[in-house]
Amino acid sequence: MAEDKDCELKAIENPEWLKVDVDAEQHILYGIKHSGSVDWITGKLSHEEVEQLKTKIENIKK
Amino acid sequence: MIYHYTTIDTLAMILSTGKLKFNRLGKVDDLEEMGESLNVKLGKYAFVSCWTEEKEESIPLWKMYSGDNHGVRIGMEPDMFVKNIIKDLTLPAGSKMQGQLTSMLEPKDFLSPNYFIFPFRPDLTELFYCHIEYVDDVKAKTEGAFKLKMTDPEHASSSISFGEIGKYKNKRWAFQQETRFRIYAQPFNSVYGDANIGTIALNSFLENKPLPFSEYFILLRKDAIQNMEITLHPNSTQSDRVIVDSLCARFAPKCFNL
Repeated sequence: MAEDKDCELKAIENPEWLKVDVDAEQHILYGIKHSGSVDWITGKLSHEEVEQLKTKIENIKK
Repeated sequence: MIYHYTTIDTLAMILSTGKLKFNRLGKVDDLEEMGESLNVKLGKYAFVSCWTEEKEESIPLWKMYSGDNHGVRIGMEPDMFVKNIIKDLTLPAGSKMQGQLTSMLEPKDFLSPNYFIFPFRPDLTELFYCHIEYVDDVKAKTEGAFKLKMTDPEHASSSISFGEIGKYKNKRWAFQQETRFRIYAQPFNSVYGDANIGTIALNSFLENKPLPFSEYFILLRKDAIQNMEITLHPNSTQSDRVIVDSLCARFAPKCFNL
């Protein structure tokens, strides 16, 4: 199953992805693989969001 | 044939509703299975139904799961779930789905704003139907499941290996020879998302966002129920036999009641 924001939802067979969201240029934003791995990239984060995320990552590492 | 040891109450629910319950991983009896990685409690997003392929009756499993000598052992073919054809979904923006897919889930499950369940196909892949691996250290197998990194100063990427969650148990449980069905639910649905779906995913997991349910039911095929094999507990009473016979007569007259 694939998804993009122009056609919204297409059901297709894919050997790697169970579900995948792509942008207008077919870049993968978010996906679920048949292995159960869920992968994603964030959109452009604001300076504040980046700082919050860095803090979270640092706190998690402690 | 695979086998599930349970109570007569649960048998009654399976036969009367035609559905199998999947319990949240955090509610099963081995607390080590909770599966925590980067402070995200991954076990709260995993749901399982536990079985064994061992045909020989197991005294420990009778003891642990059949409820005080009054339970049953259910035997069924692993390929037991409905196969719904999902098509023509009306999506939030008013557009229609293209094509169709086979799913054990119902159409409504694809449209909930609060969750998305996978795998949705009833195929017996290793992700859906797995053989438990018994290991010395369950935590060591799952603590690296969530990976998170900054890819550049303005973007982050993440991945969660859900396939590792609900797959391992400590060696002390090896006597169970367990196989299990596994499904996972993420606490958001990208059908309702936007270009920031990655950020939504990241925040949802980092905040351990709750799901709107703590157990999940999947419909069984009628012929799979009719072919069910039911074994009464070795110490069952005559009244247990009467109850099970009545349930079978009403809901599954062709099932094999031992």
